[in-house]
Parts: sequence; C-alpha cells; structure tokens
Amino acid sequence: MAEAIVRAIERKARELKLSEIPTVEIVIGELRGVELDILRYALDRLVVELLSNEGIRLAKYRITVERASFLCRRCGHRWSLEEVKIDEVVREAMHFLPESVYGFLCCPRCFSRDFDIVGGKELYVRFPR
Amino acid sequence: MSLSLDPRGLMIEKSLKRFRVIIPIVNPKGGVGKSTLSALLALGLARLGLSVGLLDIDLTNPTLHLILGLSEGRRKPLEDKGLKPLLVTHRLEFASPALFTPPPLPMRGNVMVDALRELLALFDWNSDIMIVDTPPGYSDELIEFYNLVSLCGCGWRTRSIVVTTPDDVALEGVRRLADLYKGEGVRLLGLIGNMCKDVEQIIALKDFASSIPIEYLGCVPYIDRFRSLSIASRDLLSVFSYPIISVVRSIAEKLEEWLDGAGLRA
Repeated sequence: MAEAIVRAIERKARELKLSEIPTVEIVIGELRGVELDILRYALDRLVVELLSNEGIRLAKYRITVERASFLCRRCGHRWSLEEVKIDEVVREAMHFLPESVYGFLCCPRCFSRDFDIVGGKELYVRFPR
Repeated sequence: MSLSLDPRGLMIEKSLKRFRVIIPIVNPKGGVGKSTLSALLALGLARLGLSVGLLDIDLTNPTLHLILGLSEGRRKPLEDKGLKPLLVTHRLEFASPALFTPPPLPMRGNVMVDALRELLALFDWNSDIMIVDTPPGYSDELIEFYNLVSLCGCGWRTRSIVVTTPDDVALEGVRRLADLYKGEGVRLLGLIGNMCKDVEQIIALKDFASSIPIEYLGCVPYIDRFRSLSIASRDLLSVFSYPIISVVRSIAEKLEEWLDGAGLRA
C-alpha cells in the first residue's frame, strides 16, 4: 500500500511537473484496518527513496482515517463499527477487501444486508491546490 | 479545489500488465458452464506447461473455489510484499473474493465496481496467462473489467472466449453479446460449446459460430459426474477425456499463434 501511494504521488508530481511537493493528505478508511505506525515507517523510507532516486521531494504528509459508517437501504438506520461485534476473521477480510463486509454484516436494526458503505473504505491521496 | 488520486490505479495496471494474455470467459446466460470451463481450461493449460492465473470476478456469487475443491476460508493467501494468489497446482494460481468472505455478497452497482478494483489491485500474480471467470449478464463487473483492461493499455492482449450450451436461448444471448462486443471493440478468441450431446449439436454450433462469425474452438460433452464432484477431488486423467484435451489443445494452439503474431512470445 505504501509503495502504491508513493508511486501515485510520483506519477502526479511528474504530470504536474513538480519537483517539490509541500504536503499531501493520505486518506484511508477505517475498514482497511491499516496499522498506521507500520504505514508511516514504510512511507518515510519510500519518501527518502523518492528524493534520492527520482529527485522529487515530498516535504510533509498527513494521514486521515475516515470512520466506517453504514446506511441501511431497507430501514434507513445508520450505524458504525462500534455497534456491531466483529472478530479477527472479519477484520482481516475487511483489511484485504473492504466490501467483504457484505458477507459478514447486516443492519443491526432490521438485519437486512442491503446497506451502503457510506464511509470507511477510502484510499486516496489529496494534493491541495 | 484539490486533486485526488487513487493509488489502486497503479496497482491494477501493474497487476494486469504482468500477463501476456488475458482471457475473460463469457456468456450473458447463466448455467452454461463458464466456471467449469474456466477451471478446466486453466488446469489444462497449466498441464501443457503454461503458467496460468485464474480469477473469479463473479463477485456476488463466486463458485470457482468450489469447483476447484477449495473450501472458503480454509486456505489463506500469503502476504509477501503483496498478496500471493493461492497455488492450486505448480503452474496454476487462483484468486477469488471467496478467499476472504463467505458468499453470497449482496452488492449494488458502484459497490461492485469498487470491489472489482480492490480485487484486481490486491494480488501479486506470477503467471503468463490470466483466465477470468465472469458472472452472467453484462453488468458492472464485466463492463468495469473491460474498462480497466483498456485503461491499463492491456486491451490489445485481451481475447474473450464465449462458452455456450447448444440451445437456442443460450445462442441468442451469444449473438447479442457478439453484436455488443463489435461496438465496444472487445475481441474474441473463439467459442467453446459445452454439454453437447450429439454430433448434430456440434454441427449446429459450428454453423452458428460461422454465422457470427467467431472461431469454433471445440465442444465439451455433457459429463454427468461434473454435477456433483469438484474437479480437484477427481483423478485428473478421468476428467481430461479426449474431447476436453482436444478443446484445451485447440485453445493453446490458438494462443500460441496469436502470441507469435503479436510478438508476445515469452
């Protein structure tokens, strides 16, 4: 994941003809279950390589975690991960494939599996203008 | 205004570009044997010495893992700088949403598009040929797959194979699909008949193929045992009867011919 993020930043920097990027925001959804310390460690190393190998300097990055939020299409109930019990098997599945929640979760109010993942599966990099 | 970019795009491109050939197995009608033929083709090509990656993109109701005799959640993919597909045989890798979560997965439109992108971005493949088992219909998963293949610059190395039973309803679906594909620029490698019961059906299929036109690759007969057993649990020799071997060889020859012509020979 860290490599894909840095490669994406590199590609965008080249597209915009930038050799210096003051800051980016990395947005990651809660469902992905990313260990932020590990991600930061990997990103820090890759950012150093980005400068030494490609001559592109990323001065700063910020990681934002979007909380998971679900909306039932049947009864309109909105809920978060705190309201449901999930074990390690489910967490691991969500980490790899966030949409796997549809195999494990249902609306805690009406038990329907017809719900939207309103937030929590994000993975993108935001370049401020 | 800010600029957002999705890192998965690069991961998908890297994943798809690994393959010299990408072969979606298609038919808008369900129950014609796409999954069974996908598995047989993958096993057969691997047996002929080609390295094959088999992917199930029937996201809401995947079944390839059952045909291959892999129980849900029993065999986990390994993580090593990316997720490794499961190794089914020495030259056959396999991936499916069923490796993570018990089907079915009731998902609506855009969610399926996202789930497909995740699945394609996730795995670190190590094969030359990708065979893709697709769901019935012509909806989000298939449309997005062709879209991504094209965006990644892999359209020219993608050739779809139509699997069909010889009945009129299935053939009408194939005719509609072929028309749609012409407009979309989707290229076909050929047509495989499945569950053919007699020579008359084979001849009718060949005539149908010429009428489209689409290359006829062969016909797999109806095999009653397929209804109840997974392929992995059977003796491969008994599964690979002459008609099946003949179809697989015919496809392997077509692939070699095309790869040579396109300068994609390994």
